[in-house]
Amino acid sequence: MNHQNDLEERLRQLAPKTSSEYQTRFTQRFKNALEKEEPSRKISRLPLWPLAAAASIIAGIFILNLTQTTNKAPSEIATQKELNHDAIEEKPFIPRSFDAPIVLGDNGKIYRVFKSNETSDETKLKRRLIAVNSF
Amino acid sequence: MDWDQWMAENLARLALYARQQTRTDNDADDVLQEAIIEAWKREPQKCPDLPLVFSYIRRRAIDLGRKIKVRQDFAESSDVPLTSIETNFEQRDDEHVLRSSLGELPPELSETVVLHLWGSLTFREIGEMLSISQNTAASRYRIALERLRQTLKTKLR
Repeated sequence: MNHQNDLEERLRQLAPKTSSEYQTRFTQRFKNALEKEEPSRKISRLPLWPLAAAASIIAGIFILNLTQTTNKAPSEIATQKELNHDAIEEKPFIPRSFDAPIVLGDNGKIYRVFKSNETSDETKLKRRLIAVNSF
Repeated sequence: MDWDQWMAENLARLALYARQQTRTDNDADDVLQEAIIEAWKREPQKCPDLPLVFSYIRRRAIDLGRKIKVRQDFAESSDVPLTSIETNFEQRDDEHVLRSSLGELPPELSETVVLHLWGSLTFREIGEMLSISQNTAASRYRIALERLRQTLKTKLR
């Protein structure tokens, strides 16, 4: 154990020492690098509240716009979605469940025509017209 | 923060460890600088924690070693010498003997000596840093000292 303590003490005395020239050179180099780091740190330490405020304003505008759209009268929406015959040709309608023909009503709206399931001759001819406003 | 004083107290031990972990003095300086800055970034208000800097030196040296290996594998040969003349440390005869003796030890043993004896890290801190147990760190240190004792007995007679 004494051998170990002696050796440790001897080794401590032999502790490496950097030359003063290296000490100065490295310290200066380090300080230069540190100065380059400082600006980026300052940016990262900026308060986040302006960013949060801007995001809130943008979100507010979006919500307001959305509310105005949804508050429109049904007739107003129908006007916007009003389709003419040309539109039907441009955007072919694909029936969901069965081949239901499409007709253009006198009022300018598009109708899908469903055959009735009833069996009597009268009702076989009866057709239900369902307005399609979902175009 | 007084960097001059901090460097005066710690640069030698950190530089020695960085040099031990890298191939050239230039690599050691790069790794050392990056490690100190990284440690400083964690707590800019105070001087970097020494065990943390040692830990970062080791990690960055490993990363650098991997990059160099990839570059060498790619280029197959390099004009840059792998070792340079060591000019950063004061040249003393006995220290030269010591360093050469340390260099003859397996890396895991010499690393423990540098960290404990000159780095002033406890075995617990060394264990955490190297992901080994405290007892293993102490054991490596004892083995290293015993081998150094045998070597120095003949060289420094």
